[in-house]
Amino acid sequence: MTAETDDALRAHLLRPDGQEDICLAAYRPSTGATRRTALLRRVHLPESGERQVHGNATITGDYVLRVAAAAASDGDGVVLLHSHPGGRGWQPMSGPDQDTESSYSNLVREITGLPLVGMTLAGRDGAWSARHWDHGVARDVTPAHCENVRVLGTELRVTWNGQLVPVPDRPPTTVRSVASWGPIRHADLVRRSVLVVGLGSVGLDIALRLAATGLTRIGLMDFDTIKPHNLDRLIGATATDSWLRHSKLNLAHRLATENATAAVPVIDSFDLSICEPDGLAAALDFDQIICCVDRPWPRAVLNLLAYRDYIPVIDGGIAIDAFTDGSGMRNATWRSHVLHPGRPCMSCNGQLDLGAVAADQSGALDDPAYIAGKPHLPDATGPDDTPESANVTVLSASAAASLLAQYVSLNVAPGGLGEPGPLQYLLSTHTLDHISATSRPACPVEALTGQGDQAIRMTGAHPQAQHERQYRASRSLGFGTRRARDLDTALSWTRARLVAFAKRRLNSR
Amino acid sequence: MSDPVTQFIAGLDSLAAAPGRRGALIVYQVDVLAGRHAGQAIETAVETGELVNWPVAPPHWIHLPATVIFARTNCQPSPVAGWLRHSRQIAGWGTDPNPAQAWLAHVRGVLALAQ
Repeated sequence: MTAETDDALRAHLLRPDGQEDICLAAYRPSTGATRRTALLRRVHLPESGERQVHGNATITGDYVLRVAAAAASDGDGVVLLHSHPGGRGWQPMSGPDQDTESSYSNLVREITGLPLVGMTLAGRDGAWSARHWDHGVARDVTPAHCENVRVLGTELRVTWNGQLVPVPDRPPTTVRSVASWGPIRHADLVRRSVLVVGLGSVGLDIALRLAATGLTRIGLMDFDTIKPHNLDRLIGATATDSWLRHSKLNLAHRLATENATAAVPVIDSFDLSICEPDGLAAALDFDQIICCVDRPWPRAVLNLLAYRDYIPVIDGGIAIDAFTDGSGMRNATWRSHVLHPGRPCMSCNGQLDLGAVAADQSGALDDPAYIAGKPHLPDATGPDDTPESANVTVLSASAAASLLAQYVSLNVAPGGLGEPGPLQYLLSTHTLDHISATSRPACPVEALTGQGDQAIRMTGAHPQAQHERQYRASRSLGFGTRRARDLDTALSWTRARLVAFAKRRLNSR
Repeated sequence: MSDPVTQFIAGLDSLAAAPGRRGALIVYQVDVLAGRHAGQAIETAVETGELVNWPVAPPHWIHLPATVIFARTNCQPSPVAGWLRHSRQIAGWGTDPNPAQAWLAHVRGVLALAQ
């Protein structure tokens, strides 16, 4: 849910007299490859006579029917929320809680077509717990408890169901990281899954640092192949990777696995574009996303996802302005921002041109016929994006640092302050600017906030991703290159076993 | 929530642009307000494949009869015989509460430059 919704619910459910309270809300499903999320959209507070407070709190059937009918007409499901004023952390269900939710679960599902979601607010620390009431007949229903509840504002607050996602072991190698924000925050942070989309110089650096911090689940997504022109920026890539047509994903996975300090790290690899339906479905399984891609189409997909599905997207990049006569650099800037409801989207803050998406999606930006036909004039019409823009590794680290600082502010909130809004660093003058961007009233992206599965996804077939996967396939390689790849695979496997052995040895001390 | 193509057609219909499906295109009429074709109603089109993200992202190509000529353009054949599709990127998309109106304004701006 958004922080705004959380505020509205807390104002109703946490009473000055210390009694429990109850209310209903509407949600939309957001479905990933393996995870489903209920996006709270609208709070329906009880009207006069629709609920009674008597130490505990109860609601009338008329209230449930009123809200379920409204939800059904909007394509929403229903959430039944109540408070435990003296509770702290993830709340178990009491007998009365179970009776109340189970008694309405089938009725609500029949009216809306979606399972009832039950939620409990712990009064002492504002923690939420939640469950889906999926199947069953009459009162013979059981809840499927959620793994976490996420509240998204300038800070991402997460409550964990410790039974499903227990606090991970803390290996001795993470002692300095833990000291930076304390063991409680660390236990929370490392359970928050992060997907890094785009594993170029910035994305690769970020992925390795997240692995070294001790995150228990990191996703890596890229379809691109390491080419010779990547070697001056991909730290850790070698001429061998280019020769043997290794993917950026393969490199990032290998290095992240070696650098991971979690006791049991899960590093998921997706040889996909975020623009492909499977890529987006995979992304919807993560708690937050770091966007390190520069094309309009994937940026548009991620921009929309941040609002439609309430998954914060930490985005940024670097722009280098070189003199056209080759005599030097005029300036370089790197920007970073977090996209979520309450902050301007990528288009509103000037970092995405929605008018360029269709050309990118159609493949025009890679089509030689299209590029050849572009008028090379100052006032030429058509997109001017080039697939390979200027970048240099000594500065890409600064872009990565800016993104990671936004990540820490969003997740750790140093001094109680969350992410700071859009930032821009100017290299020539070495100044850091806070960009005062605001959401446009007619923004078509933010208009889809909280729509989840019902809104467009902007995904489709991605010929370039298909081409790159085919280009790397063994059958497209010569005999000698295939044998060299076999040898490289054997060496990598041996090194991976050695590193794993060393980690086990270290962590068992 | 209706599908994007239906939304696009409904938007143009509300502005009396007479939209209709013709194969893989949505064909509609634009009253040209300036330039050589001022005062004329010109038939133009977009591809349905470019409307999948409407109204979040607008189409790129504008399909026009080959008789509509521009001094500078990046054009390719259109599925309609005797037509061409012209590369035109719209700037600042997302500021108008009525996306169909914003699209028609874009096309009118393009047609004002026709020779």
